[in-house]
Amino acid sequence: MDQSSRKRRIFLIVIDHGVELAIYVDSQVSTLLGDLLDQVVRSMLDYDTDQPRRLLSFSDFAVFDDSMDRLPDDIRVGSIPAPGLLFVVPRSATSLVELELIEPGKDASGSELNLHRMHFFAYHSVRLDPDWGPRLNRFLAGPDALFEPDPLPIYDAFVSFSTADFLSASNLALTLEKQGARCFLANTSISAGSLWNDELRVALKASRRLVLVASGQAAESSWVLSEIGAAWMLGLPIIVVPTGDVPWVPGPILDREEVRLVSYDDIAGLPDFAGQRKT
Amino acid sequence: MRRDIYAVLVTSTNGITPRAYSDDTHTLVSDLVTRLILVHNHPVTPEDIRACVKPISDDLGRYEVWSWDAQSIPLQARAGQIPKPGVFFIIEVSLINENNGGLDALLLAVKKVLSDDGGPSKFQRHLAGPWSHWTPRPLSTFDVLLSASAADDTVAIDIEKQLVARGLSTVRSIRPAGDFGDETLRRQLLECQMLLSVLTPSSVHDPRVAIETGACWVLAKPFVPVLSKIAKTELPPSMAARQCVEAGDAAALDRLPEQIKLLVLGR
Repeated sequence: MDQSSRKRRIFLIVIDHGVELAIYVDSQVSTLLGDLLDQVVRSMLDYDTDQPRRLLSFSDFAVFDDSMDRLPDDIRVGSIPAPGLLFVVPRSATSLVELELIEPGKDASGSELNLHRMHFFAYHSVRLDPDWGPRLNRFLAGPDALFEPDPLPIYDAFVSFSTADFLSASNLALTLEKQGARCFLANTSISAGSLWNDELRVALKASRRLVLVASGQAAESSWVLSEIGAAWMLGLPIIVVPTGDVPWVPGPILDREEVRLVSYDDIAGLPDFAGQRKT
Repeated sequence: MRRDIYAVLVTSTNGITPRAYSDDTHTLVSDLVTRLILVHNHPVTPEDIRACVKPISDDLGRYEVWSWDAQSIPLQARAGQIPKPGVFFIIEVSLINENNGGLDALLLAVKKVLSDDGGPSKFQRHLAGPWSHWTPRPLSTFDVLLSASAADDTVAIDIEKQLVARGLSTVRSIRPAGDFGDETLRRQLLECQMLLSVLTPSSVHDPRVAIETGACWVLAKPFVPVLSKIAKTELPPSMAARQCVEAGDAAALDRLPEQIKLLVLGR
C-alpha cells in the first residue's frame, strides 16, 4: 500500500482584487504545497490570457489555513490542517491595500495583514457567491473535510541521543538553532507532566529529519534504536553525527540512501536546515 | 462490533450503484465486494446463488477497491479498516483507462454524482451520521507479523498455527542478526495490523528488534513480546513497558491466540 499516492481534495480561495477564484484541487498527499500552488498559478495564467505573462511562483504568495495560520511552502498536501481550506494572497499587492486588508507599503507575509478581516471578507464573499457558495458548502459538509491530516512539520530536526550524551546533543541543537533550525530535544522540548512516550511519537512525525548523536552509548540504547526504526518507517532522512570517545558508525544504517554521515564540525555548514524546501 | 459503511459499485453495465451497509468490523473486504457483486451481477434466489459461486470468485479479479481519498484498499483488509468517511468504491478495472481520464477523473465523476444536491439521500445521511467520523484501524494486507530469529522459529511456528486456526492471516519473518532496513521488512511492518516478536537472551539485544519495535511504536500498532528463556526484567527499557507473554507458561501461551484475535478483530 503506497500511502504517498493517496489523493486529497482541498479547497483554494485565491484573493487579489477581491476573491478571484474558489476551486477544488485534487492532489497526491505527498505533493509539496509550493508545487501545487505553482501549478495552480500557472494554469490560472494559461486560462486568463489578459494577464501579463509575468513568471509567478509560490514565493509571490502567502498561504493561510482556515485558522489563519501561515503555512510554509515545504509542507505536503497531506499535512494541510483540517478542513483543507486554503486562502492564497499575493504577498505584495496594491489590491490588498484597496481592500483595506493591509497598510500601504506592507507585505502580506508579515503580521501587517489583517487576518481576521481577510478571513471574514474571503469566507463570506465565497459563501454569498451563487456559484462558489454551494461548492464551498458541499466541500465543508462532505467527506473531504473529514480528512485527518498528518501533523505539520514543526521541527527541522529530531535529535536522537542517549542520556549519557545529553551535553553533546544540547550543543548540537544549539548549533543548529543558531542557523535558524528548530530542533526537538527530548529533555528540554517535553513539558513536565506530559506523557513523554506519546510526545516523542508526535514529535517524530512532526520532524523533517532525524539527527543521530552516534556515540558508543547510543549504539547500546534501545530507545535510540527505536527512534531510528521510527524514522526509517516514516521515511525521514537520517543524519548520523559520530560523537564521543568511541564514536558509533552504524554500518548497516549507512547502506541506505536517505542516511548521511556528517562530522560534528560540519553539521553547522549543512545547507538543508531551516527554511529549505524538501525535494 | 458492527459499523455502517457505504459502498459504491461502478460497472460498465450498471453504472453507479450506491449501497449502504452495516457489517462486522472483522468482515473481509473481499467478502463485502463479493456480496455486492452477487446482488448486482447475478440472480439472487438461493438456488441461483449456490449455482454461481464459481463465477463470483472469478469476478473478484475484475474489480479494484478504492477509498474516498483514492487509497487502494486490499481485498484482505477488513471492514473496520476502511478509511474515513467509511465510503469505498468497487470499480470495474476495464473502466480505469486513459479514455476515461484514468482513475482520478473517474473517481471525481463518481464523487460528484454522490455529492450533488440531488444525490442519494442515504449517502448524505451516512456523511451526517456518526459512522463517517469513526476512526478506522490502519489498512493492512494481513493481521499478524511474527518475527523471530532462526533459532526461535519453532516457537513462532507453533503460535502461527494457532492464529491461522482462528481465522487470522499471518506472515513469518526470520530475523538475520545485525541486518535491518530492508524494504521487505518495511513493507511487512506497514502492511500488518500488529507485530508479535519472539525474544531470547541472544536476540533481545539485536538492533533489529529495537528497530522493529520503534517502527510499530511510531505507527501506533500493537506489539506483543513473547519471552523465551528470558525474564521481563532483562528487557531493554523501550520494551519493558509492554505486557509480555512467557513462552514457558503453557496457560499464557494457550490464551495468547484468543487475546490476539481480540486485539486484531475486536471480538
